[in-house]
Amino acid sequence: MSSSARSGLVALLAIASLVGAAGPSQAISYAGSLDPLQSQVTGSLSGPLSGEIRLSLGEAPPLASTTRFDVVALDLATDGLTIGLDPALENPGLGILRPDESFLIPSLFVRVEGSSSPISLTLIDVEGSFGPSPACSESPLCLETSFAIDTLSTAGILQVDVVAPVPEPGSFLLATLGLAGFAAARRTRRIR
Amino acid sequence: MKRLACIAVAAAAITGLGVSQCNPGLTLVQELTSMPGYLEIHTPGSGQPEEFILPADGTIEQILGSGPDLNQVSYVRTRVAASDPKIVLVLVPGFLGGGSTFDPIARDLVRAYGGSLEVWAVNRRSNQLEDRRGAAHALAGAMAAFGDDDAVADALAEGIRFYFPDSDIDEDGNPDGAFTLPDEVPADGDSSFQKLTQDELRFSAYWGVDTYVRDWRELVLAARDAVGDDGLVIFGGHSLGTTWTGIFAAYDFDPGPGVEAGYELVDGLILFEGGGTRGPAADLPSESQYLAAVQDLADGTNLFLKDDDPVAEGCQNLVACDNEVFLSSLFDFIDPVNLGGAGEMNGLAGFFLPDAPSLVQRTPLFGGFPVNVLLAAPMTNLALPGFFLDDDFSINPAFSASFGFSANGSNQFNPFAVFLPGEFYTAVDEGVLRSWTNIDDPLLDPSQPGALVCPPIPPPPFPAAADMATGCAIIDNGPRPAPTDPPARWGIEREVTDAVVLIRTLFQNGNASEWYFIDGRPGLDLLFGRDSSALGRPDLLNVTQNANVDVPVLGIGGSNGLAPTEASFAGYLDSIASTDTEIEILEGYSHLDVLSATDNEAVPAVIDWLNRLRIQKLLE
Repeated sequence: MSSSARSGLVALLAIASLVGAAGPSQAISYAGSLDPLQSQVTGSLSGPLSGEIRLSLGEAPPLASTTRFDVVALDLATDGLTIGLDPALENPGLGILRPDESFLIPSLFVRVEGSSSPISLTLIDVEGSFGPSPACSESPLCLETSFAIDTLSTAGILQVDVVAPVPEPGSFLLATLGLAGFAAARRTRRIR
Repeated sequence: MKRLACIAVAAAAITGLGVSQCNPGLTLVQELTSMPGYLEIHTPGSGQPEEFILPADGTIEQILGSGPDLNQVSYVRTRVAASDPKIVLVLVPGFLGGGSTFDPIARDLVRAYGGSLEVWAVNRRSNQLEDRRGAAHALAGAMAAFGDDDAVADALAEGIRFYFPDSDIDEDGNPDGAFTLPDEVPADGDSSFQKLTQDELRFSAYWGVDTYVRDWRELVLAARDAVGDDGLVIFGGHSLGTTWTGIFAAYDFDPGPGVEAGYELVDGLILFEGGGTRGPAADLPSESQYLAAVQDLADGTNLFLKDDDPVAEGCQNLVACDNEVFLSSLFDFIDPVNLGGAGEMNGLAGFFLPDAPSLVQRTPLFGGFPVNVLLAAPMTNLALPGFFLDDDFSINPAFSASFGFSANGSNQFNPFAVFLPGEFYTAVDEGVLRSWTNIDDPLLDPSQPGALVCPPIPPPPFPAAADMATGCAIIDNGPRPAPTDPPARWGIEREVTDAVVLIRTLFQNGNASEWYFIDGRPGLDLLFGRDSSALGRPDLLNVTQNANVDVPVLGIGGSNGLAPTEASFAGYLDSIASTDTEIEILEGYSHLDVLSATDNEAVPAVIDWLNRLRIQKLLE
């Protein structure tokens, strides 16, 4: 297959993916990185919070009705602490997104790791927002939430604030495909 | 928009955690509680003209006090204090089971949900009739004397003498005599165990399907009040409890032209280690036969409940050949009522003095014929429930969990097969005090010197070398049958239940058994299975909505249990309207393991299912 033919196929696949993602019965994926200037842990452990979050939505906002909101990947880290989804469960971050851009995760099952063995925690009624926001002025979408973890120890209550700019799914997909294509091209050149 | 969402709780500092745990800082609350049940008019305390009047100072009043109202529904409630539940699981135990059967998985689920879920484990009506004074006295005494083994043993001995006055706890060759405790009617003085007779429980001829499901309807409505319209109320059961689950879902609580179906009151059904409700029996009693059977149960006559053809072998009556309202014999040689008291005392002895020689083995029930043939070897307090309930030793797979081994003596594969068929080992009496190796015992850690080696072996019939085994072995039941094959055990057995966790269920917050297993009227009603239309008496029995049941169903089986494959659930699932059904089969788990296992694989399966249902509900 020639280089131009391969590029054409990639473009077709990308278009097909976007068309599929826009269908009413298809879940739509989003991914974003935390803004370390606005995301933080405060309490006995304090510091900026970084990491990634990936979502799967039943429909793309703006919404006419409430839809499924699923945190499918979570990788948050600050100095001495990581927070991820509980790997023992299939859908540890399942929730809903309302037309007013507020979301609710009734039970968010996370795995928290410090300097020792991990613990599983269940965060009840995690609420936040997902949509355009001044907090993410350079991004069309923004995920914002806050929750607290009570350690029942000298570590006390840790406050976790999350702000994550999120590109449109198409932008994310194209960017991903672009990066993949760039990497493939580099690899092809090396093989030659 | 940014809002404070919640406070999750951990016990240890995040930066200095110990072993991996789930919501380790939560304080669980578990209590045996009750509320008014269905007003069944014949039941003592109903205040209706049809009420059976209890004799003054009779046995039941000695147990419960004067003028008891037996129209109660009791349950073991497991929750987090001051929490706001959004999910309540109402769970019904199985054959001879009490609410505490669900204790381990209830704790796991409540803890996993961080307090937004509660488990209400049902006690059937007869649990309130158990004379638990002896066990309560022994527990209080053992707690007070904790650390002084002799004093603990004395407290336990008093409890055992309460139930079994002919026991020889001190082994002096003579019965020790009864230990008495105050009656609930103070003027009556003291008494030892008050055991009820069939005739004292004749009112339970009216404790059938209709009464039970209406009791549970009260619980379900209370659960709905607790979780609100957007919360989940799930109905489920274990083993025979799955039969009850299907019956509840299929019941029409409106005997008139309207319909109030059980399934419409709940958001889903869970079937633990049981395939749900069967279809009607081939031969069903007519309305007149049904009424005659009820009358016999109620007044103790045998006008209908008798052998129709005594010459022919076996009972020839399509309902029953006796008028017993509760089960009087288990396996044809154990009195279930006495077993109830012994089980509770054995749980206490195994918990407080696990390594001491068994106290319950000195009772007439366990020390006398024929149980003493099955349990011939002297054994410790912890080993006795092992030799009775462990899947390698239990004579009935309905009473089995996988919780370790006894490796300090020989175990023989069923030497009584001629008159007691089954696949089980017995401990050979070699004069050695048999002990129990729990699943967390260092002996089972392969990295330790002298560790037990537990090789997989094929299922019975064993080769001669395996007939007499010392140590431990794990049975490999072979490959998994196809989903459409008949149910059969498969996979490699696993030891997953902590023996201490299991025996704790025997005595705390009620108990894990039903001493007076009411089977007279329920046995009659359950002949109709999931469709009682043929009876034509919706005022008596109204199981008519099975085909309309359209709520999600989760079935969980154990590959070494009684529901080992998808086919175990197929008959019931094919009979209902719901297409939202899931089956999880846990390899190596036996019948009780699905409720009692450590790191129970049923827990994430239930959580994932509940999560999905909760979101579906919020999206409606």
